[in-house]
Amino acid sequence: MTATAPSSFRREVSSFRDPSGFLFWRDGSIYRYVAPAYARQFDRAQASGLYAESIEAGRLLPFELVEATTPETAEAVAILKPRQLVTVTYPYEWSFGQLKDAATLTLELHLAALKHDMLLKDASAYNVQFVDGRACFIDHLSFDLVSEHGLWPAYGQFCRHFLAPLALMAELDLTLGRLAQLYLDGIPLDVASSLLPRRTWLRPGLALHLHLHARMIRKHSSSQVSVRSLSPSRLSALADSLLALVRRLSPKHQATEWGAYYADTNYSDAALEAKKHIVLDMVKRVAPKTVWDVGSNNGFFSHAVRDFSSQIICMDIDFAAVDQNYERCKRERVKNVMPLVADLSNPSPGIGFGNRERLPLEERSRPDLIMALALVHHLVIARNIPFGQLARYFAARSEYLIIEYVPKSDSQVQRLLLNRKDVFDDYSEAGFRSAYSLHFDVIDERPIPSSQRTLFLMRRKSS
Amino acid sequence: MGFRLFAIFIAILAMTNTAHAYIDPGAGSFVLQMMLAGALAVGATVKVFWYRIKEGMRRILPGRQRVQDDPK
Repeated sequence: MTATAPSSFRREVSSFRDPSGFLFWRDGSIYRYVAPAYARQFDRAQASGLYAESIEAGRLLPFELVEATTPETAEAVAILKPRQLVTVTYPYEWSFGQLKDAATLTLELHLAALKHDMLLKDASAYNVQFVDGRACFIDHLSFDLVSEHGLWPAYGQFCRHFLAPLALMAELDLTLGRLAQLYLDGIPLDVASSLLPRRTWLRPGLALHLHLHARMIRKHSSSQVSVRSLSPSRLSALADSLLALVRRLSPKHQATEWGAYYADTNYSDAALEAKKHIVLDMVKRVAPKTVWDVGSNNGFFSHAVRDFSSQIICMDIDFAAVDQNYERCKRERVKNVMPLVADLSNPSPGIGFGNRERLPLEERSRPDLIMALALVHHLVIARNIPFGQLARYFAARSEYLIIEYVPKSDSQVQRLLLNRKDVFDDYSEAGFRSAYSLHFDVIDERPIPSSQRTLFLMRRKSS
Repeated sequence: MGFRLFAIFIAILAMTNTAHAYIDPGAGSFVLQMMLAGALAVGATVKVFWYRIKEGMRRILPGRQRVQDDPK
């Protein structure tokens, strides 16, 4: 689901796999077409109360039934208008905790469906989104009758989309969550099995659902299997086993680049507090609808200003910092802060069929304010992105910019230059002002007390 | 729980053999869950009985009375 849409009927480009229905856009809102082939399943999910109880529990995206008003939807069994999502995010942008919550939600929903003799026929991580800070299932057509299958058809998909990346992140490295970007239908289990340490064979849940599963897939790769139906109670036992395994997975302590950033800065407490107040003042002046906090770390400044914007997307490259932010959002029941793993120097691209199934982050969210606090020196010096290119990037995406200039004499910049040749002759306040003045007007600039740094509030030049 | 899963794992491992190059993800997942689901359901039943036996023992043994959730 993208953030923009034309005013007439248009099928959502990423919705083409499921014969049960499809998503379409009309007048800027997204709708779900329920095909005649899904009539029995839709009726059962409605009549049994499965939809209602799942929505009530916050597990399923609420929807309302609307009339078909276009010729393209005349054959529909039903047209659903789901609650509209503010920003769509993808599993390769989630931290460990976010992916784990999405996995837990998927299994809980499957278990709830089994009580009504239904099941989840899909267990794609893309069917989960974060709504009001909580994982929420968005595909209303993923439920099917147990009698249509006999077995859980999504068992393999669940293990590829959730179990494999969670196990790799927990046992090896948190950054392996990014593998989901490479494998669109989940990480193949033989790949995950060969990457995981041998000691994971001693963990019974992983040994069965992942390692042995990978072997069984290989063994039966070209076999015709006669399926013996399982009762809902046996299907529940399988899902319970996966749920217990997922709940037990947790990352081993991993030293991260930025996880303890605010305990390792050259700021005094007073300077940090002063900076917080300056940022707050600037945000209040802009009164933005959507903020991107790029290089947000654990979201310290996003949380400081969260009452003054409808949505804040926090982006950071560090999985542990994003997880800290997510845990804080959950703990404080924050609804408008969305922590994401994202690298501004290599943002999520368009992937999948025609590169349009999963869109670049920039096409899913349009900020009116970008906050780049204590970030520019990292991008310019550590990633060699010149001031000018960065200024052009920000100006192309946002009307307002709050940016922190960190001089070369700052100890954090000196640390970045410690083991490399200083080839950054243009890195000066004059160079910074000159590059940004091509695209922005400075509305306000405030030195941060007890530091050498300056905060700028800028507005894009009108063209 | 852990020992039960491990025993199932050893039994199923003994039944697997060599790999094939072409991979159809469906069939292997079906075979495995047919093997697992039955064993896990039996395990869950055993667990319920074991829990009941433990509860019974607690009631019988003096000084280890279980606190009732609903003391009517």
